[in-house]
Amino acid sequence: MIRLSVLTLLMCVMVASEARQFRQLAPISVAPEVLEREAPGQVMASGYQVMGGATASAMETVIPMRPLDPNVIEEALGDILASWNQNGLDDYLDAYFPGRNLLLTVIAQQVPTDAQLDLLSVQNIQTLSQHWAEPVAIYRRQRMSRVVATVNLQLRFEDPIRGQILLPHSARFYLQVLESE
Amino acid sequence: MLRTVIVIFALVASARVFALPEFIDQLPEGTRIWENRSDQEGMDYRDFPGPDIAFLNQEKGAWYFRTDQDVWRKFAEGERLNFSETGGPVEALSYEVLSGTSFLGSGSARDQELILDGPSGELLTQSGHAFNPEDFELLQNDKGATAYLDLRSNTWWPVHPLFESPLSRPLSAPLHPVHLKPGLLPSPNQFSEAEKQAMRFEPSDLRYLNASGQVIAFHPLALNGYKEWKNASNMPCSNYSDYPGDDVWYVNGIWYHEVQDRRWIEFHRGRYLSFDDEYGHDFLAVELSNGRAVNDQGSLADQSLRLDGVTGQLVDAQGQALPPQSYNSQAHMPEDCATRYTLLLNESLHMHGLGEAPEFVAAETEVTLLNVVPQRYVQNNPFNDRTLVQAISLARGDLSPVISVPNPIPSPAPIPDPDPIPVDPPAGSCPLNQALSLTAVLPDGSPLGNVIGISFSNQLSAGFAVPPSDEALRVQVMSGFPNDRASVGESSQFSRISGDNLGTQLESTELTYRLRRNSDLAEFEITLRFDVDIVFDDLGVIFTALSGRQCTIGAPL
Repeated sequence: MIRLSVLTLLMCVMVASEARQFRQLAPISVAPEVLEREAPGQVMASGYQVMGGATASAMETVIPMRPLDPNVIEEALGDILASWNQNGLDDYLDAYFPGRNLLLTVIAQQVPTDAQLDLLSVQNIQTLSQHWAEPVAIYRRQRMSRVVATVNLQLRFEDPIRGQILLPHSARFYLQVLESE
Repeated sequence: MLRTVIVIFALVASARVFALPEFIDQLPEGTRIWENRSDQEGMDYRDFPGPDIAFLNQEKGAWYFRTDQDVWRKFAEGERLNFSETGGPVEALSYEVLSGTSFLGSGSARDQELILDGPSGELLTQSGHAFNPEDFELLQNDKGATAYLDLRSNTWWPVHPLFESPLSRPLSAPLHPVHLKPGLLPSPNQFSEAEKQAMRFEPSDLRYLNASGQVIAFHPLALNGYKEWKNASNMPCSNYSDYPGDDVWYVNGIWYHEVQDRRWIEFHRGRYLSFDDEYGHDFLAVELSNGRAVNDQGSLADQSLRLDGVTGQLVDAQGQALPPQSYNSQAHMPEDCATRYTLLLNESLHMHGLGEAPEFVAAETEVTLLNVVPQRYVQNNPFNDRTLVQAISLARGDLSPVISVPNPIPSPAPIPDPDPIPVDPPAGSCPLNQALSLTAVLPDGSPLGNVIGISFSNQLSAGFAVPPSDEALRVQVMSGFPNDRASVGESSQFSRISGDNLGTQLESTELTYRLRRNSDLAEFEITLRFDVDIVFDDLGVIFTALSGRQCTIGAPL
């Protein structure tokens, strides 16, 4: 009888543990913080600057929107992280990237020289908007897209005492892709 | 002993039966899911929102709905879902399974006591008759009689009771549709109520006629592979401006002129259309061959070639298809016009007068990083100058996660205040006693946190946990708050004396509080600024500025 009670109790514990849930990730949509300007020196909250100071809202929307090739985005993200490793991020950061100059200074001066940023995976690539840009003489057409991708990466460097240090990080990367034909 | 074995076996067996969990984070691949589309434009059950429903075909089967937290929760077991016996999350589904069909006019699947079979995805009547509601049309004749017609089997069924036994003879014509399906061509919302009332349905040809006998719509089942040839004679780049006329359609074995927008007149039956002058469709021959002689043997009619309505290709007298490249080359077209014409590769000979712009083919790509919004492991963000330095320092052990400023060495030795009642100093005059003063302005790379503490050793700290400090202020995001404010509250160990109000405060606002430590009546002035942001996968508080000063030494206890 005691044995039966113990078994019953064990079964109850099993059922209870199935019902117990861990707290779920509840993503909160956060508008990309992109400082943009309407005219030199003037910061605006929406629309983004393209050639000649035109904003996205002034350009013709691409209809239907053509999602960008994920390979193009993955390759671009790889280039961006590689540039982080080689002090070349300057070429990729938008002029209004938050804290742009401070970040470049920190990477150049305070990050260990052997620090490497590794791209672990890219998920959920989405094309958010797409516009035809103002034509430039040497190109027939230019297409401007804004893309978001969830990127999993890690910072890796050696510490003389603690050995290899891995710092994981996940973030949504907001990219502007200008294609020319 | 035997009884114990039997009991154990029974318990294990029952555990197997109830093995499907109550909650599932991610459904196995291949699970059948009914997505709720009530929020989509034009859906006919928009008043009935509900969750997605899934059937998990394991064990004895179980039904789940997707919760607001994106977790699947079990609500029923068994392979079949009886709508009339299941409540809660399946209300929207009981409309969804009939959405766009003639059955919805008679109510939801629950109203009609239908059953959903999980493994097959089919609807069943209570008597077990399986059916696909999309195959049925609810029709009414001029005498007011109504019945369902199974268009696949051409079987007529009474409305009540549903599918018990078929009607012995069809409804007498003319027949009128009771319900127009969304997949109709053109869309049902193109018609006025009066036009819908007068509309006649021809089951044999799957088309709808108006009172004048003109075809005004096609049933979705008729539209599989329909073809359309636009007469582009009035277009600027046309090479057959001499042949104006109607567009030509091939739908379900019948050839039509589109005599005006969405009005069709039948002119020929059969799969093939010849190119003699009988139908006045000279433009077709030119359109198809770009005005050239095919195989250098004269016109299409001269060669007894015909147009195949099913494939859209030219065939010879024996029905053999000609290679498309032998007649539809565009090489001779003017270059600027050639770019404006598009022959859709997947729709053979489906011509459009003014085509879409040529496909964009990028030769160069330039990518700019606009922003990085942290999602997980926020404290390690390598694209933020503050977190980057902090993360590296913490990893190396250079910096404690709770920043504190050690006490300065008291010199000269503190003199106990003879007055037990603390004096409220004028604003900004803290600290009164230099020997015990502290200023702990956290650098820009402040640790993430939502608690400010002041320890008995008079160190200011911030972070999720501040032991052994006494908690002084708690800044907390509240459920349901906007994403730009938090609630500031004092702990039971401290009392607010003056300064900014407690309660809801907007982020980025500089806040100053004068607090008294209840245990010794020492007073402190704390100035802070915070941002509300994602912290460890959830909304939290980040202190962007924090400084503290001690104003009075406190009374002896």
